[in-house]
Amino acid sequence: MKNYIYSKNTVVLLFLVILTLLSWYVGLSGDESLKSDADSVVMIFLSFLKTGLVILFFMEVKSSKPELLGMCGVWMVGSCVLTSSVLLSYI
Amino acid sequence: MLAQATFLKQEQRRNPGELGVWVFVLADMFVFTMLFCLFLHYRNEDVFSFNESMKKLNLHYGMINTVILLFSSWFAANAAMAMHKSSLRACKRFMLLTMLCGLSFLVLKGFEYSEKLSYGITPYSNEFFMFYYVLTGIHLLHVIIGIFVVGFAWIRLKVVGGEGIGSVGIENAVTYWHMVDLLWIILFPLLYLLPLS
Repeated sequence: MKNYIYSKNTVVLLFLVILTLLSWYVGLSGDESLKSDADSVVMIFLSFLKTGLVILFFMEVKSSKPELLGMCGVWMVGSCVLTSSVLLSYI
Repeated sequence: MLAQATFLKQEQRRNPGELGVWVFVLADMFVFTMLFCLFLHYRNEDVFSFNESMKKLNLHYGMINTVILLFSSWFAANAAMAMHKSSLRACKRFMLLTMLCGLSFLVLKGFEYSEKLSYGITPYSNEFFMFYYVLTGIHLLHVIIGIFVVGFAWIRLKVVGGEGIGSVGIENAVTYWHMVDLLWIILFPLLYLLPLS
């Protein structure tokens, strides 16, 4: 059991949880100075960063063949750019 | 030397699970990307109404569900790792924990839906809640299927053993489960956190 707890995946999990709690705190905060359209884009970027960590480490794509790595990269970057562009089109 | 230590050689690289599962997972994720863009497009047309509706969502439910799914992904990754190490007992235990997290997600989502419905908030309330119920509903369906997929792999592991199902069978189930987590990671900020300015 110790092998699983003291592993790279656990560090990734902790990082993911911290990022989630941070975004939750910003969402919860009544402080309007914390909230802007740029923050919306940052929040989307952070969530795609989280998906990148899950894909690379949990899904073991880090050690997969370049074709799969490339396809996952295309989805991640493409989706991030697409969603951010649609969001920014309002501004 | 450093390059050798850092990068895996071509022959050392292998895709986890079967190609068909990855085609399905990537296609599903691309479809969800379109749904995310559609949601943001409608939000842009009526930002005020969407922001006001978003404030009616319970952020705590969203955050707890995200953490639950992150832990479930960690358990699923460990199940695959245990299978590689031929530790069937640990693999079965991690798969059970993954399913338990999935069930907790379902229960919490049930509470969230019943809370909304008790306030009279339905998919017909406005466009935001139409998207909320459709997006979370489709995701919930994925979670239910994921629990069955992991459960099926767990039963096969119990009945036919490690050699019967093989590490690829476990990897297929685990890859599907990770997709469920990935989709929620994007859905959480879109539905719960975006009403910023």
